[in-house]
Amino acid sequence: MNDLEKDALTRELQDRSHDIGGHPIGLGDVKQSARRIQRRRRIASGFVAAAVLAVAVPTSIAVSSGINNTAPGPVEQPTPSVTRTATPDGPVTLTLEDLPRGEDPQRSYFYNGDLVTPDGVLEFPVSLQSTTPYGDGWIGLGYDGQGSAEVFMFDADRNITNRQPTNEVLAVSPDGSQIAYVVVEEDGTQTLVNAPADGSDPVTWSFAEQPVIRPIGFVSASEVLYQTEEERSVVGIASPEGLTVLEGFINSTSANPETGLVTGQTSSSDTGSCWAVMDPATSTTEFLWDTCEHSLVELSPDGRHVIATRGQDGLGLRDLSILDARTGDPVVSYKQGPRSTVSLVFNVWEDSESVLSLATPDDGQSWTMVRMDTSGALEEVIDPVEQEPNSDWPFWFPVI
Amino acid sequence: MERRGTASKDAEFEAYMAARQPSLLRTAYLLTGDRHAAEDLVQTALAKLYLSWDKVQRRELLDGYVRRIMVNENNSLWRRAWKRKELTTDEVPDYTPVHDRPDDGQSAALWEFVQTLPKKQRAVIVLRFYEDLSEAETAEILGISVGTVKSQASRALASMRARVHAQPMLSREGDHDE
Repeated sequence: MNDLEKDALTRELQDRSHDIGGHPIGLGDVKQSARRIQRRRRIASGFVAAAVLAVAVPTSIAVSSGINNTAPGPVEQPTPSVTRTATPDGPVTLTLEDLPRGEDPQRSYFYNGDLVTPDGVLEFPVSLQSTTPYGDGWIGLGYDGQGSAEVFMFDADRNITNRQPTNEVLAVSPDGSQIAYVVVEEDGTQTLVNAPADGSDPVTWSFAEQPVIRPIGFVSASEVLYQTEEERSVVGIASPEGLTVLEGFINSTSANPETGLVTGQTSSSDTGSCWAVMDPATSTTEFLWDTCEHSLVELSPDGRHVIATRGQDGLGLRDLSILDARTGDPVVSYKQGPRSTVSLVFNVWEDSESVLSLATPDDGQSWTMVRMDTSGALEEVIDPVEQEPNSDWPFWFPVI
Repeated sequence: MERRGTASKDAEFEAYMAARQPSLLRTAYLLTGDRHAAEDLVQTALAKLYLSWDKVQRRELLDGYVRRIMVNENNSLWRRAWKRKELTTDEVPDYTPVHDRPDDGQSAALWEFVQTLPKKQRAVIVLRFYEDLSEAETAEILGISVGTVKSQASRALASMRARVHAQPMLSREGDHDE
């Protein structure tokens, strides 16, 4: 190498960066980012709250204005769905090769920032990570220019009507009728809001500035499952009667208002973690069942099943099982084939029988969405999208 | 007891952050080429460092650790899709312009060249020629072999040389030195 070339390059890099100044980053900013990263890590692993994942836009919602039917979305007419039936004796092989084409996804997802609903594609004036119909319009969670989370209210034409600082999670009941979120008030205190989606009066609970409160889901229409974000998180239920702590959980991932069940993590160590299901109506200290073989991801909308996994890494789930939520008995399992390396990111219930996952082979350059269900089906539901290796996810469900 | 531990951690971290933030921002800017993206990158790297603070026992390794986070984050597949869309606002953000120096265009041409490099090659260049790290240190941070560092640096300089033929202004400084 020529030293003069290197010197010129070094000088340029030094000169170019010398003048750079920016806004000082404070410890509060760093801590806020740290909390967001922790949440992302949970999501990348598929460990996300059931009710949060259930931020589906009901297919019956009439999207009456502003639909851009030319925007990308479910891009081809589906061919008749063909399913692979699970063999009673073994798991379904998880592969992305030669998958049959299934019907278009029946729940909404974001594609390059726009919300693709079964009825068309919707654009919002801000970048959202989650949204659901609220009142005559929409409620959504996104970030301001500084990266701080805000909850936005939109009218039917998706104009912003209100915005407030929040704690980054919008939890929605499976039928879309109840929405929970936290508003961070000007004095730093937190208000947990349980808002009927029809826009009628919400019920609220006040919490101190710390620890951060995160809604998880709904145990019933009037009871919000929440947890605190601290070294030893507390999992509890906020009801009109007050707050009830659920003993034994160190984290919670899911709740269901149909059955009242709650899933969560009970221990974590270098060698693994243990998880459990609780029925708080029966006991707030005892579990229905627990497991150290599976991590529990999300209860189905009817509360009868739960998504679980034995293996996950930073790229996502390496296998996926559907278990009976009351007993832990396996219903169906999807596992890697001998030469298959598929990662499943964003695993959500499409309805009470089927799961949608964003899937990629290990190269991360091709992404698709697959449907799995309690009968062992495995099918592709959109056309695969090629991505540059260093680019973002092309799709995500309106969750976090 | 636990609270005092957190306060102590925060104080220690804040001191590190205050001391290193300007330097990290400069590196981040060279990696990203954009001031706002650089701020974002530094904040994310510091947040990840904060989460791992208790695990990093040897404080002398902190700089290398945070550099590795920045490079990996900048190259990461998992950049969030919603960052693509900017929030519309009436407020004009603070902006510190970076002016090209009056140097017959050499500076601008070199900077333009750096910005055309693939992300990983650019990281090698920044770590080797700006941070002045050894090939072994660069390899350690990037998680690649020393041979790959050599070949990436060599390839970048070869590209630069090819540009020189197309843009002779890139060679002027060398001419002056001679």
